[in-house]
Amino acid sequence: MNRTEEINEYLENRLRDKNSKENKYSFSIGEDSYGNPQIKISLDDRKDITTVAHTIAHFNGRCVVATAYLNDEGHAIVYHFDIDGLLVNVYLQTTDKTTDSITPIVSSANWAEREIREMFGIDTVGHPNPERLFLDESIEEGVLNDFIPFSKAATGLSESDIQWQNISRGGRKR
Amino acid sequence: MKDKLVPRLFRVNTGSCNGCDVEFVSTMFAPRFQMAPFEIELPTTAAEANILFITGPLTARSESFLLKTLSEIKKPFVVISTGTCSVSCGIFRDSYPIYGPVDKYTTVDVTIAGCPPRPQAIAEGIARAIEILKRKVEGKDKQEPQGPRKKEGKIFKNFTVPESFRGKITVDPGICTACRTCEVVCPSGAIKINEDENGFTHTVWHNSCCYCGTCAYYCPTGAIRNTSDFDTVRTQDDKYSHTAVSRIEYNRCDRCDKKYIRASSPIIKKSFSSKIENRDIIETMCPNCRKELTFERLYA
Repeated sequence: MNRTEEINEYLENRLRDKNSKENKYSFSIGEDSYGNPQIKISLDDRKDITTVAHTIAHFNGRCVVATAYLNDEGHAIVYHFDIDGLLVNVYLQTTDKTTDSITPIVSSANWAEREIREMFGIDTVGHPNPERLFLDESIEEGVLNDFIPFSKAATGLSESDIQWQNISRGGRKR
Repeated sequence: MKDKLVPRLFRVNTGSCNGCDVEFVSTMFAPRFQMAPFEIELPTTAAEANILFITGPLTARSESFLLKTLSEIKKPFVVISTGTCSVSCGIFRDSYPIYGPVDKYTTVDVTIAGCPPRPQAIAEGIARAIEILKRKVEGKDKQEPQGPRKKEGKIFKNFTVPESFRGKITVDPGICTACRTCEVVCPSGAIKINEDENGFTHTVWHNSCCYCGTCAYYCPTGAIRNTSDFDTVRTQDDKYSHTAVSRIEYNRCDRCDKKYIRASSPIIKKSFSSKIENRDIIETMCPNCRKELTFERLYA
């Protein structure tokens, strides 16, 4: 039995619905452009991230990075774990801006979760040090929720427009 | 006798990537950049300085450092805004932690665009700042001479750069078709193309350009390209006029008199063989008439 199967079996034993006998996650194996194998796990219930974290800890893995993005239902959070060269990408969905912190289980997720917290205002419940990582105090938490895409910035009124108005006014300042 | 004016330069990094700062160090300490005759001192506190050398787009975190420096420095002083970030915020403009450009906080005297600027440009900028400082100390800053500086005054003449050097952008309006590819791909918002009834105005703002050459790479006709020119030092008055403006005029079709943009000669060269008959109609007729004429020739 290879490692990906081992991981799947370990998860299956813990994340199987007792009544319907169905898995509460989807599991797929792919590879990146260099041919390295990687696992993609999508969780139905965001609470199951702690079980996944225990799995990662069991296989002596670490958290590489974690990111979040806005979608129609709220926020998607993606954790990227590494188990001795094998990349494990875990997707979960949160609608109420909260998620369970996995830092107590996998300590390498510490800074990544703090970054998600300050950039998207997502509360990581149970984080041992829920302080800002590097975002300045003068900037509101969750600043990337209001992030203006470049195309919008280029068409709407922005600092660029103001600067370009000065240029079109014949070059002389104000 | 009056004491000789000693330029004391103090550098503030307001969130710069350190590119400009590295160039500054090489400018100050490499003998080939000829900074020794200026006898510039580098004090450790802003209170002793009379030239402020600012790099970086002014991030939220660095704002307090700039404000502290500005409160310490004593008048009269000169501010040099160095690097595209500092002058216009360049590629970082409109980002959430950017409070710049620096001229929102203080009066800037000299701007040195570039990403990073060439050491020669930095040397030129510092030299010009010292001149302005002298005028300020003598109380003559109101009678500042207007208009562009004479070429003879430059420190560096006939300086060559490697062939791969990416300098200021130039546009050949003869082969530009105003397709707006450069405007779209420009990461620092330095290109604007405005349409009016007679054609297009293509403007490149050198103070926002990061000299990456992306526009030149994507230009389908090769009309826009980097030159080897790195003369990016300007006074603050010229901040918004440091541009390259070119006009792309509409042509009138010989047949229907409609306005159209003339096909670019490099594209014609690529698409048609030199032996093609009626070659001139490609350039003198609008695409619609050309289509009709070709159809008539083949099937009429």
